Amino acid sequence: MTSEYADVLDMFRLLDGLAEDSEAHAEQRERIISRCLPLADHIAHRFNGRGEARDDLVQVARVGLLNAVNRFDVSTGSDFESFAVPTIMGEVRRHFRDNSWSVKVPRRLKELHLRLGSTSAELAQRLGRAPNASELADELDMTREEIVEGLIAGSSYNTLSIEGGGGGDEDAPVIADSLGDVDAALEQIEDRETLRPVLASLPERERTVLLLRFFDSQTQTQIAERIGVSQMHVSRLLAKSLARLRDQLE
Amino acid sequence: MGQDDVTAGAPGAGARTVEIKVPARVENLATLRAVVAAIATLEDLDLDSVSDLRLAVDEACTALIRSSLEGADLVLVVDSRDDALHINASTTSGTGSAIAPGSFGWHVMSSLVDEVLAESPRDGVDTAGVVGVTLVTRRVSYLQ
Repeated sequence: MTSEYADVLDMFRLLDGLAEDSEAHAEQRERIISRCLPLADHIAHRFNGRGEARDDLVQVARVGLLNAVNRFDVSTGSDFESFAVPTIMGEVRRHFRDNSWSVKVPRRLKELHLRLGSTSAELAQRLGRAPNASELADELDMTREEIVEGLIAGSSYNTLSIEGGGGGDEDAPVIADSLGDVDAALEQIEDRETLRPVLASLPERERTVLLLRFFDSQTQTQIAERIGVSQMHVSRLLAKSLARLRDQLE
Repeated sequence: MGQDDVTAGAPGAGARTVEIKVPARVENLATLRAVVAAIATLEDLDLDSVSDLRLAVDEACTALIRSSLEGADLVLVVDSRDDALHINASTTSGTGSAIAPGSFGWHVMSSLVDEVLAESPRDGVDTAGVVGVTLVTRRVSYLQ
């Protein structure tokens, strides 16, 4: 099994020798990623049939692969596969944890909900803002009532697992740049001294999403695009972290 | 457009008003969120606004429920006007206030909707009475 990706180590050694912002570096990184895509797809396939859309799983597994490629240190002498598999699995598991259906929802509605997710992402790309129900209805050849039904089905998504998790072990999303002036925004808030430590205790991804929405005035659609998840996912992360904050600030 | 149910002659307020009353308990939050999301979606607010509104309703109603007197009801009124959606949530409180302007909860709500208004018992005296929050989300077409 390990031999299957043995050549990847040489590719990493080559990558190591290239200047980090050079075009050659970017190209070599691309090559490694394409070479290892089957690994991500294989893991996605293993989780198939558990109620998540296949495309989403593949996408999430590939995000895991990107993280693994970014973090792998070839000089440690370990092989890439045994480093990448847990990283990719972690990303997929987190996706399940954030997205599991906590209530029985008819299959038709689940599928509609998933379709709405991908269609609204496409429309958001095209329109430069989140679509409304009429636009979704046009695109999917449905009525607004059906759209509402599908979106409401989404509210039973993950409602019970808000208390779950809670560990601060979430990996940082790939966002290194500034989050706007959080401190200046915090000045407006009277209970900021209590708020600071509570914010700091949130898992990285939830905190990032929260700061972008409430202290950097980004829309959910913009945040979704920035961190590479769906708008619905951003909405769930916000709901979850706000609930946590409410409990802890009380 | 598509608003075929608009009552002729109504200038906005009241024509499309939905009111629901539930016991002021956290178990009812999901219902309140779902009702507001359904109305806002049918009213053709964009999905970001719908989703923000859900979060704002969650924030407002949680605070109201926490300040409510034992056995009190929570009343939610969604008024779809031509220029905006007005959502008022209220309950009977024992503490006289639910969400203070300047708090994080207030900041959250103000970030999620265009306008937040609070009502508390007369002159903020610490007595039992009706406390409420009104959230206003304007339709994008009216902002331009």
